[in-house]
Amino acid sequence: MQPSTKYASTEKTSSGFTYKETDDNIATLFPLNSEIDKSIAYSTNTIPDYKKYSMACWAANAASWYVNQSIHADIPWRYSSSSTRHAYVKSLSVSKDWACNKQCNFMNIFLSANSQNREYNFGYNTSASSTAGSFSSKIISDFDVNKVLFTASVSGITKTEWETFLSDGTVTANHSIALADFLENPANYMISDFQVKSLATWNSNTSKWVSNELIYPTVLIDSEEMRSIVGYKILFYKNLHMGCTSDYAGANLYCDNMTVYTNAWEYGTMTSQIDQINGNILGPANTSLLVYPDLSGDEIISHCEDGVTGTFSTPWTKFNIGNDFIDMYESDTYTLVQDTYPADASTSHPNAWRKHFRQMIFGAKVSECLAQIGVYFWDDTVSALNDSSCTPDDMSLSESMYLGAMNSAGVTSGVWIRGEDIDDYTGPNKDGSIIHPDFDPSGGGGGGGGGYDDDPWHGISFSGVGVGGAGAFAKCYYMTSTELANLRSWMNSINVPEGFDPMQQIIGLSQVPVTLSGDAPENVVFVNSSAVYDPGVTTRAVDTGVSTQQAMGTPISYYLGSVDIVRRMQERGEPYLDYDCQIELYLPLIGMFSLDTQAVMGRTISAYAVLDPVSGTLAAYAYVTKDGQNLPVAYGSTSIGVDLPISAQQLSVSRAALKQANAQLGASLLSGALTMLAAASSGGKSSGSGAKTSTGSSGLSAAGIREAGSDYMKASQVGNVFGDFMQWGRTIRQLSYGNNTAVAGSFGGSTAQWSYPFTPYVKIIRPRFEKPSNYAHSQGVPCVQTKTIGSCTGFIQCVGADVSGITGATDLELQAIQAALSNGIYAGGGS
Amino acid sequence: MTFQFGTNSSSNETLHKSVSLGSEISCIVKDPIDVMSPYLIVKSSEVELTDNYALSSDTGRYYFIEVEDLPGGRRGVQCTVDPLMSFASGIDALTVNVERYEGATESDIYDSGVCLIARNEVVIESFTGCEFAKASDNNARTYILTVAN
Repeated sequence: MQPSTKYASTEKTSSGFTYKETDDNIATLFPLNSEIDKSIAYSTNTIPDYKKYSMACWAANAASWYVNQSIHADIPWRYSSSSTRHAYVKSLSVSKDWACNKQCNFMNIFLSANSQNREYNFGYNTSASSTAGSFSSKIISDFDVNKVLFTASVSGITKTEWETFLSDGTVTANHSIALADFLENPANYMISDFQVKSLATWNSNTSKWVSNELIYPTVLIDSEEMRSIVGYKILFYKNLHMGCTSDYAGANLYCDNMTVYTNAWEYGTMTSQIDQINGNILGPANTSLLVYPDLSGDEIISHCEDGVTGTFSTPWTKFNIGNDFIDMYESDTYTLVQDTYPADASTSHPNAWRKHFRQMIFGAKVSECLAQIGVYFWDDTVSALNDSSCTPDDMSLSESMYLGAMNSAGVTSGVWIRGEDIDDYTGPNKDGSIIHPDFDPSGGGGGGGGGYDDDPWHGISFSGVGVGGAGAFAKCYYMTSTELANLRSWMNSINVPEGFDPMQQIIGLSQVPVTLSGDAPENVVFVNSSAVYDPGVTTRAVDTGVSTQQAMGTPISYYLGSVDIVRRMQERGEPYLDYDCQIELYLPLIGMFSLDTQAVMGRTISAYAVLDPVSGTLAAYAYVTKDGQNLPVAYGSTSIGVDLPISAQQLSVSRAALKQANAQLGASLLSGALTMLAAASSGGKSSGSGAKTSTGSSGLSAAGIREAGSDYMKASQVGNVFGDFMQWGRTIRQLSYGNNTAVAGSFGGSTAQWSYPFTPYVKIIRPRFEKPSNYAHSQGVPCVQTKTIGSCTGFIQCVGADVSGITGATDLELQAIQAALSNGIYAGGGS
Repeated sequence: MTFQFGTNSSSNETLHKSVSLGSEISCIVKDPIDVMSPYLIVKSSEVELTDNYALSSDTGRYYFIEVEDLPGGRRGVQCTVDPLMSFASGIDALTVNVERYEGATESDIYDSGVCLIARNEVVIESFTGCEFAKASDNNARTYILTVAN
């Protein structure tokens, strides 16, 4: 692994190697990567693909050169200063062997420039400081490219500008290409198999570098248009094991820290700095690595006091890990969070207030363990943009808390839920499941787990399950009864554009017996296709002003909980009878399932349900976990959605009735509508008197129209008035029988009884038995083992024993012995 | 033949019995001599009517005995061989397939000897942590409105 000294273009130093370039032409300096490639090409022929391996590194601990083995990304990176001198690094890479110093988990690369002779240093340092020339040092912890990006202290230019520079060397501004490119193409910088290419750990006992398998991807929170960041919150939903596995027991635990970086900046001018909370777990030197702090249920939560900015003099975040507090804050070096609220209270241009906030967490399995992560703000975007005085809102902590969901790359999805809304939020999580709103830090809940009573990442992901109903030309809303009534009021108000019939736009209306939270608050908007579209002047969108929730584009997954199937018969002394039990499972609204007793006895049954709100389909399944795999034991589905009546024709009639004497509606419209009514009535839906329909068909009397409209109004208030499905049913009957008005939409749908329990349960039918107290002594218990009789004590029964080995006995005696063994004897003088 | 008479306090099915025997006594064995069930004639003072066990030093066999009074100050002893005790060491050395054993540790084997009662016990256990139930609290209802878009 040690390259030869054929690094002709490099100069080995005690802290790495130095590359010197005297050519003053920056364009010729740039192909640094080529030089490095050439160096390595010269150095050895054993590297199969040298383009994937760049710098070699000098490891002071091992006093050896180590060839990089972990290249994660080409990082176009440039530093600049107030001078016109520039240094460009096309590829930064580090060796996993070299990266993890046994004294410090940091692998620091510092890049410096000297404005006089353009000396560029590449090296490492196991401490967190380095300076050279007139440029400030740039520290890269680990080798995570994201962190590299974060250390960039200049704001971005466009990717195009960078490409221009690559092609002709034109420098447009002092910008960090990496930052800009990352903002545009973050996926290019994501490392999918980070744990494979992770840090190595120096095992002092074995004097070997060992691969650290516990490093997981960085969690990166990226939020635009947030500002006034004053704190953060990290919530763990399961154990966070900080430390090495037992495989590395004996090594020093100077690595595997958890570091939280927060960074904020604004467009145009980079104003913030790297903020870092750094907590090293320092295990006893040369002792075992048995540090497994249990963070389940713990949360890191902190926030600044009002108006406090700058460096905090005292640690204000402590990380409770087991019995030890880990200080996560180095007050001498870093500021935890910089308040990004505009310093200039007179700032009036909203765009200047736009802030980015990113929070980055890395460490052993951190991202695997995170349940929620969020930040505190004084203002949200809307408040900030409308707050000319730049005065932070007086919000409670809960109101200023924002929760961010993470996507599969460990980056926030951009969905931030504010304050008290968090409790109701069930957004998509990093694996497509539902982020959890009900984390219980106290460790409550069932199922044997700590913290979460309903683990969102447990079980099978339902990603990929389609949602019926809404498509490219439809949009769904989750509405409360009040919101529905509000919409109805709007539909019958004078606010409806003239000539626009909103009822025509309603495709479906259904009801489900659960509370649903949508993606985001949104007004119900119709499309008035008949409106004349004039770009910049008018649109076809008709905003009703009725605020509701936009439906999510995915099914909703519910954790149904768990139950332990305890072996009660075992406790009572006849364990085999556990398998004589009959176990039935009830899945909510779906029904009973007879379970395989062999599969579930002694295990924990967990269940999930998935609801497609649009189709009303509820699917549920239950499983037990065995040997790390989930074994399904029951699955079923049903429909719990109830389609409710809609009638565009009725609404037309209703509006006509409301306007009464307004004769602007054409006779053809009325005629068409009532023809529909009559047709529906004769179609069997209306088995009542039919008198009112006949009224309509016998003549277009104003009274008849008015009456129909009135009745419809009554019916359309159902959502507001009635609470349950049975009342709905009565209402529907009233509609179809009492009024003989038609139900244009399909009615019905739910095949499940909403009165059934919503919580699963199991019914266990166990046998009862009786046996005397001296049963085992007098009759023994089934054994079916091969033993020597001399090794036994007490009752023993052996059928077909071979007694031929007994010497000196007559045949009759041998037969007697065999018979005695068959009937049972007391061995060992036991009776 | 010489015998030792005494008592056995263990059950007949016990392999290694707990016995208390007296000194060796010379006995007359009534014809026909049967090693499995000999009949002995001894002085009344040499065997008690309550004795129930004997050991033959000559054959090394243990016997269950029944003592009866005979005329002339004599007692008759009807012996029946106890093959378990007589050949206990040989039986101890046997390797056998044990069907039932008082000290068995494997208890998941069905035991047909246990008396099952026709009345079952029915238990209902609910799941814990059901968020679906939370979502349906208080007669929760949500209307899904689909509009053309």
